Order: sequence, then C-alpha cells, then structure tokens
Amino acid sequence: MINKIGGDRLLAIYWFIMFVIVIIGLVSGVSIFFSKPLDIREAEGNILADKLTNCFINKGIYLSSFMDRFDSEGLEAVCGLVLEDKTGYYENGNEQYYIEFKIGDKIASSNDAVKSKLHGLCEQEDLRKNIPICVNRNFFVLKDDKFEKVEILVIVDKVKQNAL
Amino acid sequence: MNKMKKGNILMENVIFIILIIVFISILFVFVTRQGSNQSVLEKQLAKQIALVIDEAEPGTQVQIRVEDEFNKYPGGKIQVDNNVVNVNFGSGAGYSYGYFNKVNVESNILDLNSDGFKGRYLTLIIK
Repeated sequence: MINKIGGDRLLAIYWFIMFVIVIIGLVSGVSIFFSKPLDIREAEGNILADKLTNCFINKGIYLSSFMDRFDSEGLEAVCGLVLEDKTGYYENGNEQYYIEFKIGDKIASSNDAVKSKLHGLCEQEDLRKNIPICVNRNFFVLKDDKFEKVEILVIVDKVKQNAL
Repeated sequence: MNKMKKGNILMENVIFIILIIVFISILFVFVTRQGSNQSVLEKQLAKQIALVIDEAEPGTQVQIRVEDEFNKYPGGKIQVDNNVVNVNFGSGAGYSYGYFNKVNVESNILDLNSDGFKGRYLTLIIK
C-alpha cells in the first residue's frame, strides 16, 4: 500500500516535470515567433514589379515612348513611384529599392549607385538571412509586331524593419 | 483510517488538477498578450496599411477594421503622410513604415454603421 502511494506521488512529480517542460517549450516558441518581425518585402517587391509592368505595357503591347521618358524624366516620375524611404530608420533612405528593367539589348535601372551594393546579394538569397529580397519577372511583350523578352529585377532592402 | 487515506488521495488529485488549470490559464493569457501587444499591433497595422496603399490605384477608397485595436488602445493614432504610415498606440513615437506609391492619401478613423461595415474603421481615400 505504502509502495503504491509512493509510486503515485513519483508519477505525479514526473507528470508535473513533463508539464513544466512542455510549458517552457510553448512559451519560448511563442516568444521566438512574435519577436521576429513580419517580413513583407516579397509582397512589396511583387507590387513594385506589377506597377512597373503596368507602366510600360498597355494591353500586352510595349509603349515605345517608355524608354525615352525613362531616360529623360526618370523612373519615379514616369511610373508614379517614390523610391525613397522617409521613415528615418535608414541613413540611406534612397537606397532601399532597386529596379532593373531590360528589353532587348536596352537596360535601365532606377539607381546605379545601389546596383553594386544590392545586385550581388540576389545570388545568396537561399540563405534568406539579413539580406535584401529579390523579385524576378521574365515575360514577352509585343514591340513593333515582334515578341521581345522583358526582364525585370526588383530588390527591396529594408532589412532593419523586416529581418532583424 | 481508510477514509482518511482516500481523502488525502482525493485532495492531492484536486490540487494537481487546480495547478494544471492555473498553468494552462497563465499560458493562455501569455500567448494572447504576446499576439496583441502594443508593439506587435503597431508593426502589423503599419505594414498592412503600407501594402494596401502601395497596391491601390488613385480613386480607391479602402476601409480597414480597427475596432479591436482601438478598443484596446483608445488613444491610438494613425497618420499617413509624406509616403510614411505611422501607427501609435502608446506614448512614444509609434512605428513608421514607408510606401512607394506616389499618391495623396486622406485617412480618417470613423465609426461606421452601414451595410457590411459595423464598428470602427480606418478609411483611406487614395487620390
């Protein structure tokens, strides 16, 4: 009888220890989950790529004036974008986005100064740690009754607010 | 003698069950609070609003339900200005997130009571 009561108590203590371990696991899991920032850069990059696509294509046909306007007015003015982060979180607010647009042999980019800084990081994207997010789009458009390949690359940095 | 032993075992079990209930309650409160604490809500809402504005075309009107957030933090403020969304549910500077769509945004917190919209909403008018 004494052994049975002792065994029951031992089982209760064992049960309690198991319960505490499960709670510690759950609490640390929840804490880790909520301490990580919500990363919306991929969504931002996709929206930016859509905006750019709508900017130079009308019903599947390439707008021939786009490249000239791009060169003279700049991408931001032509497509109605503000590619500068004004939140104050970044010293270099105008280097948080990079857009590269390629049609045929013509290449245009939003900010050449950022190119060397961000471009090389796209190859390391499988690491997905504290580096910018790259969004690639490849498709064909009708230009002068011929199909031309278009390549769009959008890079969103904003590491401080989305990955750290 | 036998009754006393039975009473002891019953008491131990009751205490054990109460302890488990207390632990589960604390855990539930912890998880609920973690998911809805001020900083998490500010970040979540600011990013959500920034994405909505980025996607929107001029002439769009968007309603975002903020009933739960404003019930929890009645003095909260949401400002959309100069390509920055600022959400502030406390006494500090709040949380800011930038958007890239070059549009003018008029934002208001309104109590709506029409078809499909009941409660407190953030109304964004994209111009």
